[in-house]
Amino acid sequence: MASQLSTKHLLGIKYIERKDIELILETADQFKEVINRPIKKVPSLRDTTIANLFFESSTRTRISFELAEKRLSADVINFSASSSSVNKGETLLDTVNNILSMKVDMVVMRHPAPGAPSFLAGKIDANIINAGDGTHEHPTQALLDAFSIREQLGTLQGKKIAIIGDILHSRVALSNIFCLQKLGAKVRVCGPATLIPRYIGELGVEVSHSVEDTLQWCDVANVLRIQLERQNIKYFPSLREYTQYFGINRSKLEKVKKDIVIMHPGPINRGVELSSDAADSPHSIILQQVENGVAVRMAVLYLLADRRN
Amino acid sequence: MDVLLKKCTIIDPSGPHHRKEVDVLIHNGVIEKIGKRLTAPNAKCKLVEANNLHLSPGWLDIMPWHGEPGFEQVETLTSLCAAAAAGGYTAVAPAPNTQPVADQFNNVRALGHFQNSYGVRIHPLGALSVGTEGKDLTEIYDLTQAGAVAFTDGWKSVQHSGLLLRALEYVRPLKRTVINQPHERNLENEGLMHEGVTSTLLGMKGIPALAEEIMVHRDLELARYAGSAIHILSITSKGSVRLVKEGKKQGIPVSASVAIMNLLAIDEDVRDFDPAYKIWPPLRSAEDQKALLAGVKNQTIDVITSNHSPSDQEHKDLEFAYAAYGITQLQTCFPAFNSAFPEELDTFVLAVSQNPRSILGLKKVTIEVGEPVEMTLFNPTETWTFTRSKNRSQAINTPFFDHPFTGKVVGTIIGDQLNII
Repeated sequence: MASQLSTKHLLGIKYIERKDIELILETADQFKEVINRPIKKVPSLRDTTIANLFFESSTRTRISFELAEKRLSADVINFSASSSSVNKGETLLDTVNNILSMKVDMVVMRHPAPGAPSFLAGKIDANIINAGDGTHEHPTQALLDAFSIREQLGTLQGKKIAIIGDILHSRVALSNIFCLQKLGAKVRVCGPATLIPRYIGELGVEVSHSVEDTLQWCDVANVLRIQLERQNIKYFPSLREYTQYFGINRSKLEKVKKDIVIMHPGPINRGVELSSDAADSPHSIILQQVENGVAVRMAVLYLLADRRN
Repeated sequence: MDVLLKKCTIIDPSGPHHRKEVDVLIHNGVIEKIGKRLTAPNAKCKLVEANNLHLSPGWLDIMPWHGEPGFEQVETLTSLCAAAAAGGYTAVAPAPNTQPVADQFNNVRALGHFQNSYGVRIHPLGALSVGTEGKDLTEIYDLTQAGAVAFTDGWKSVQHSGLLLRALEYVRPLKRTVINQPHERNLENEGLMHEGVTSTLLGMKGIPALAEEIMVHRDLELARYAGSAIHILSITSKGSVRLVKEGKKQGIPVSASVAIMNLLAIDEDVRDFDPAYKIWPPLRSAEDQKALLAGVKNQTIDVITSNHSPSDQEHKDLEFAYAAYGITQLQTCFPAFNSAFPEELDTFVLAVSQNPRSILGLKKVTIEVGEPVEMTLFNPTETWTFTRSKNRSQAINTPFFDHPFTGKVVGTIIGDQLNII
């Protein structure tokens, strides 16, 4: 196994190699053990300052990163767009350069514009971790999803993973596709035709518009949130109809004569894409995903910090 | 003033001296002699000698954008003319999308009379609708009197079919062309680039070629119905090329243009969100690019435009989603085209001189004894590098700084005025 990442930033899964993903997952194994100890903290990033720049609202990703940073003993500063000078018209580059001049080593950034972290990476020296850029990528979510599947099924090689829901507006879908494929899994996307990008099949994924058929096919169903906040156009007629035809509930799961792992990147629209009896079922690993998120983010931060010099 | 051009190759595909290597003597803005071994008539005669000197009828660009009035911090008319002259253009028909727009008699007249030190001629395009808002027709007869040579809402595509039809019908007795950039906004799909594998990989919604093609089809049918000339500005897709070709075959009075970058680049060049390649209309697939080039070669596409879209750094050097569209391109249009397609020099010259003049109803410019002078001088084989210090546009939104080119503009002669770069 490689001992160092091939990149100094984590801008997207698209830009890293299988050996990088494997290194992150194996490092995360060790950090998962650490965060389950009575003393959950290690001194690895004691001399490192990390800025969490959230230009778009987030609860779990921000908390997960912050916790990961604190468990690694990094110094952390938090910044969110609502409390910032962004509202006063400052550009992203100015905002970030101002923060960097206070000697920040790493930047964790969420931003509504696809490619914003790539834009910054060409202009600043700090390591950048993409915590979600618009509808582009959310690499740490894909890594924690892969970690969680591996934990459940032992391997991803040859496993059938379905990503169900609003693929068009999802950064999780794209990162998951790249990550799962790099680890040898078969991927299918499923949802209403208006919520599936026209050319997604060219990325080597199967496309389906039948949830029943997809549940029959898959080993894992990763159910995505309906991103109403990103939909300026109505892509489907009503939530009622969506839930009826594309929502996952217990009765649909019971019709499948096998155990399917249920995942969701959160936050769940309960009763829309996922009913409570499915979300809280024994086959659901939604809360394990959240726990694993901290371990995976610790691994990413640790390994990128290692690339700093 | 007398000017003697020594040993120059004439590129004037529809003129009598095409591809001949001759000397040309100009007296007071008129071609006096064309022949071998001409001598200067007097000591004051300006002599132009250069390696591999070529000359052609002066180039004209349709729809370059400038910001005077309203956006002078981006590009003034003076800087537009400077960039045009440095790019070999003797005339421009700028987009009416200023603020206020060119929709009033006085605005249009002032534009037509704008004096600049390069002598670049400005042929105003009048706004088609008041404020280019796509609702009510402008006073087209009046604007024609003021000097408007054609009518268009410029970079704002006319969405209302009834309005476009009325414009086509209304201008018919005036024998003017209506110019429309085809883009059905309801099919834009919130996209920022061409819809394809690249947009999918970048997680961006795409603008389907369909959004353009459906409007090309509409515009052709409206022009057929009205019996009036339409110029379809900046087509980008294989489907649009096919539609225009079919329309011409059926006798619809249609002409079309392509923007230089759509011949040079494709959607994949956006790569990792490079805002330099955020261009309107969008760069499309390699297959589209191939069809556009074939369309230029077989004259389906009549005109090559620079699609000059200056932008200030503050609006361009941003995240892709927020960056302004476009490239400041007047100065690099010829060198970029010639570097990529050196064998298509005749095609280029037709597409920037005779064809655009014919579409705008302007007098043909020919290299012939007795003809008034409006010509471009260039060397198609000279290699050089475009740099920031050579840039004459006020804007710097170009991916071509420090880019080596083959083909260099030597200068222009407009009437009595000689501009050597």
